[in-house]
Amino acid sequence: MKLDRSQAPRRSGPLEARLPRIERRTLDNGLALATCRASATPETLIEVSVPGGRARERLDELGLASLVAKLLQEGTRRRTTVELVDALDYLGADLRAGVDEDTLVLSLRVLDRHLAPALELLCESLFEPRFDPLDFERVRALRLAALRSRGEEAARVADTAWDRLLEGPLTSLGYSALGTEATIGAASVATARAFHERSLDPRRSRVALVGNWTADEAADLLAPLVRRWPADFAPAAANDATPSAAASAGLYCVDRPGAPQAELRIGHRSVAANHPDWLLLAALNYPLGGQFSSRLNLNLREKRGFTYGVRSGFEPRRGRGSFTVALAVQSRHVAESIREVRRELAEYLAGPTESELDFTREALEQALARQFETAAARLAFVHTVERFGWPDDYPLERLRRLAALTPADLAQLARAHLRPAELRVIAVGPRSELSALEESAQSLDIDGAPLDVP
Amino acid sequence: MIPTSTAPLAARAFGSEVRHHVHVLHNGLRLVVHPDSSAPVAAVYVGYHVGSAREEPGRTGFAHLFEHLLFQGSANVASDGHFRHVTQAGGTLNGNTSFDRTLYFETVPSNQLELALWLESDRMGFLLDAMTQAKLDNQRDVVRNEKRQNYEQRPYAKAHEALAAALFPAGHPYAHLPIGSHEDLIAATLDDVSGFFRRWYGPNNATLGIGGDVSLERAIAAAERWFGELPRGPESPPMVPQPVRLERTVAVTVEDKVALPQLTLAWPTPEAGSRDEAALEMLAMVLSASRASVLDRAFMIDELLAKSVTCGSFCGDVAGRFTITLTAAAGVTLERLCARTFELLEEVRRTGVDPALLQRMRHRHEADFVRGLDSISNRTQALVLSDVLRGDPAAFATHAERVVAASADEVRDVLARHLLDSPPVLLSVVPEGRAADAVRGRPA
Repeated sequence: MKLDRSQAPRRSGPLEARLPRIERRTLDNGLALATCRASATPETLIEVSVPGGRARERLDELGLASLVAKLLQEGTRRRTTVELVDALDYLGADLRAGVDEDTLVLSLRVLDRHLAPALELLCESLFEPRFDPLDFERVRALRLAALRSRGEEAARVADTAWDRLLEGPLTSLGYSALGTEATIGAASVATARAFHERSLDPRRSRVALVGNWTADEAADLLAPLVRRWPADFAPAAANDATPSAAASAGLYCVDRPGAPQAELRIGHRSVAANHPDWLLLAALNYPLGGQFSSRLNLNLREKRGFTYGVRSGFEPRRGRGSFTVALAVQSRHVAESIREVRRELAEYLAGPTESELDFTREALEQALARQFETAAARLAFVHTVERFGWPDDYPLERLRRLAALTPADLAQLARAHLRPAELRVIAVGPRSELSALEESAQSLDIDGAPLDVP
Repeated sequence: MIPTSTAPLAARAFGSEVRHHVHVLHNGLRLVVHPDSSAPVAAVYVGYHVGSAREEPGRTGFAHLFEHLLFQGSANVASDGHFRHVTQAGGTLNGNTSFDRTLYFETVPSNQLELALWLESDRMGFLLDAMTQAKLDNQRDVVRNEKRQNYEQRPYAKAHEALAAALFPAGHPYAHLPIGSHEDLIAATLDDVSGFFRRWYGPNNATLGIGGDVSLERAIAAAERWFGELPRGPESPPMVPQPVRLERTVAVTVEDKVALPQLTLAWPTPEAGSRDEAALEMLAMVLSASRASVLDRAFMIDELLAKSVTCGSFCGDVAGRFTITLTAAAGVTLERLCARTFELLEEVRRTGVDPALLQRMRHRHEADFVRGLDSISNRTQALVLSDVLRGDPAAFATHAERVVAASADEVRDVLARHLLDSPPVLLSVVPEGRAADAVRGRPA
């Protein structure tokens, strides 16, 4: 029989999506444990999240959360920086620390056979960080060097300025996670130590463990962590998110004369991750800018060739989210690109077509088959569920809700969550190229603060 | 009769193994199957043994531009079909181009294996039926924006092109980068597209990998069905090693919009498969894979002379290169970084590689190896790349074991021969208007 190439082959059969099962325990000190089984490699991944995120920084200590995260990797009471790194290398273990808005996260990835000694190093780093003054000065000097170079990469400037426009100047979230030269200059071992100590409340912390272990085995493995971490350890105050106004809608520019491209961020504030519509927003965005074959990418890349690629997305946060279109365009097409993005957003208020909706349902459903294969993917799943308090089956819940919706329902959703009249547009590129637009651009400095231009 | 040798094989290292089978189609397409039912996915990788090293003079960047055109449809696939079909099926896909090979891949739910093979076989067999000037023009613009975004807008990235040109003589296959030059991209024509396709995209210049929840029998039958009828292309000449040795130190200066200057020390090294490849890789780890490696520790912890240190060894089909890149800390000159680097390298030559450090780097290499094989896609990719570049799907594992087996003396020996006793390229990236801050030569 002659092979028929003219049609795409059909699926060979149905495929039932199964989500990884998350199991939970409350450990003796009140710490919440969430585990998920993974056996692809003989490795264990552990992630400890404590309430030491960026939202805890006061405005005079910007950058402190990430500075503390850095210092947790600079040795312990018993080991210098080099001795700690040597010990991790010997075990082939990765121990990293980072921060998001809410938490400071210490994460470990190690071969199972080295788990016990590696967990000991994690405990030392978390509870007995060295905070040596010489190490502190070294870390500070590197941070200051990074801050002095912060204007060199247009994409980073755009991201920082975007946070400032959306979050406003009264909250730490409106600034770069690196902090400022002034706040880092003013930081000390004492302020770092104090920030660290007030982050160690076990009742406001979480631990996630993924590997080839049952939940009970995981709880036993974590006994050394629990032993070192008494329940009455430094109770942490709740975060007080400072209300802060976003910059007004309109056009903004960080001028880079002669740059070959302009980095663009276009969007507005959006709802928090616990909003009842949240799970549907990824589906709403999917045909607009959520994947390669989206309206925005087919237009600006595949039709016009203005960019290497464009994406849009709703970013979840516990407090308040955002909707952002992000792209870099050839400088001489910047005005037209802004017009096209605005036009696409306005048109999308009519919602997706029937076939776009079908495409989205099928893609999101079928993708579940491959999304939880690795231990790292399972850990990310646990992290998301725990961070936002979403149901354990949220990907399926999304599909169930999506199945009941018509394009008209999506149009209503679009009108509720996409607001063309509120768009902030920032261009980091040659200001001269913006003159083709009707409105004039407010100039910003490389941190997104307004500049007075004559 | 179908030529076949589907006996079970395994790529093994450090207690991990990747089981696979090899089957060669009549038209010369090599099929590597990695059956693995641990997740309900199928990974399809197609590697062609052509990259920027095989580009014609005046056509730099063409192999990569051509890769973009393979996502623009073929006789039976609409121009937006690749991404649309695979995304709708719940899959992911992409492609990439390096000096020596071009790789295309999709990971789909395992019930969509045939979809991926339909797409890959249609573009391998019938690309030109659907090629147009408009597609070429559009993707040329996209690629030129890729170059602007990744090379012209990023601090220090302009230097990559200058480094390739300084390490290898004009006309050498590695003297230019896969991204190419704007003027050569502009010069590319539809005739170039058809010529390149006929010359390099035959099944006998490719390896097809199928991994995942797919039986060996099903994989072979599906590969035969979709690829079996495609005609063989011209034979590809083997890549002939063209190792290079610089006659004298080459100093190059690039000005960029940066605050802190950066120095790259680079040496040409031998090709992949040469005796020194594994020891050079371990040397790079000893020097900079960890914060406690020789250079990182000295520059970033003990002496605070640098803001960043990276080090890498690459060995390709025709030659290799070893690079050390240091971004200066505030107030530190490139001359100082250069002098101190040579002192530290000389010290390793004099005292030998610290055996404890070597042991730690071996452990790190093992852990990285295991981690790198954590998905069906990664395992299938490793098999395919290994088959394309080394003619054996299991070679990546034997290579990893060789790296770990490199002795302290071997590492010291390659340091001496390929770095210390060979003239380097000294590439300075300095702030605009500060050409005087560049390094002029190797310290006396």
